[in-house]
Amino acid sequence: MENRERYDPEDIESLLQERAFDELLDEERAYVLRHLNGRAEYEAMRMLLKDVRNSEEGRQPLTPDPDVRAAVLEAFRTQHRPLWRIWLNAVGQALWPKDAFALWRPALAIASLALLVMAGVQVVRHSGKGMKEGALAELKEEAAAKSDPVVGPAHAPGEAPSGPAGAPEKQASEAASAAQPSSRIAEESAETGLSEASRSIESPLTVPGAAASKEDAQAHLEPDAMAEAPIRLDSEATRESHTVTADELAVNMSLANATGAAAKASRKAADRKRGAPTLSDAPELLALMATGW
Amino acid sequence: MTLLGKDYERMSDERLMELVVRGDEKAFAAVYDRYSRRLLNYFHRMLWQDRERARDMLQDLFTKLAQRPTRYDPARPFQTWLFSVANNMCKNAYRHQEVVKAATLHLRAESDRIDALDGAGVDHERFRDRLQEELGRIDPDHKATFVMRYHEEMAIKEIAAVFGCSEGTVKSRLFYTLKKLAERMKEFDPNAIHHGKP
Repeated sequence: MENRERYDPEDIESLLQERAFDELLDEERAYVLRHLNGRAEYEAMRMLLKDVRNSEEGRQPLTPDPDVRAAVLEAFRTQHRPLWRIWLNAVGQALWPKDAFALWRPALAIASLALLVMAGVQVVRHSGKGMKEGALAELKEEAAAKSDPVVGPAHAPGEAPSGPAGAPEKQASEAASAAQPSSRIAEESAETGLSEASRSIESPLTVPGAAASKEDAQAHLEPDAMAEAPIRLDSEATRESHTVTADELAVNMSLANATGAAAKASRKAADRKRGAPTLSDAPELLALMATGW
Repeated sequence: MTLLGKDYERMSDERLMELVVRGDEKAFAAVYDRYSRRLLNYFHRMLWQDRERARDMLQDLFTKLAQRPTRYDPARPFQTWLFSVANNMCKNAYRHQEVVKAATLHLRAESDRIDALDGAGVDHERFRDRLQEELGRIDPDHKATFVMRYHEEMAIKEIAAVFGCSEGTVKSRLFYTLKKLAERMKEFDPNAIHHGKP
């Protein structure tokens, strides 16, 4: 009796699978009848169990789609991506615009502009350098040409230029002192552009001899002294301009000139010189015209 | 271990999961290949034979596993843990679809009962449909126990591990489920089913 009580539903399951109700032993049948209503129920359960197994045998099992596998593996890859790659991707996304490929036209334009600017800068640099070198070469030639007669006989390479070397310095200081009045004028003329014309008139009157000595002195001047180029230009301008005489100046500044009489008189004289006929020059012609009128 | 690498097919589930936790994609693929078909069919049976729903559930389950493989407790057998997760997902689906399921099953059950009583052809296909409907009416845990035992052919011990209950509880569930189903499906003549006759 105790053995029968040890049966449990799993044991009934095994009995259902293995034996029909008529095949059960007496003990087994008594145990089954304690849990079931009778033979019909036992057989129904037995058939159900068989049907379940049979129906499963004929059934085609479902097969997972490859898409599901791909999606799941992608999820795994995303989850287990290396940290450094995640970091780099974040940096890349932050720096690189989303529609970067749509910006190729502006990028090309900006790059072309940058190239043009760089090329322009290079051209300007090279041309400025060439000009400087050319100017330096001219200055050197000029200095050499003007220093040739002054420089004494050649020295040995190791020999110190004792006596003759002091001479150019002396000459330079003398020339600088001689050119001092003219340089002062130039400084004043630089202050006001209005008085520049009158200064150019006055300069040949005041410093006629200083110009020649100044040019000589400039060949021996220091670079700072040579930088006073306006002096030389002023003297050249005065040499080429018309020198106003005292009479011309008086006529220009007179009251008659202010009314225009002097100008008219001078114009008449010029016309006479040219020989152009006017009605005032022929009174007969005037009388004839009045008669006819 | 082979000369070219690891032999994933021969590894145990637990060893594969160790590799999965370390980020081994091939180990994860091996786990998927090993269980995807069984779980798909399990979901299919448990979720009203809805293939699309079963497919979605399978994808959800393995996506969860991919995202958090550390949720697996290495102290437990992997198979029972995986089926317990699947069973919990089915329970959630039941809760969401309770009303719809009840209405659909009622309509289909009525129509099938009429067909059966009319003496139409009884075959395995109809028997399976009817069985699924009747399983849908019983308690989800009982249904899951039945499916695991008779469809997935899992041992009583494994089923007990899935549910976290004793083996006696599983045996009792199986017995009463069989008894109930046999009573509800008594209009199907077992001999007729076997021989393909009404």
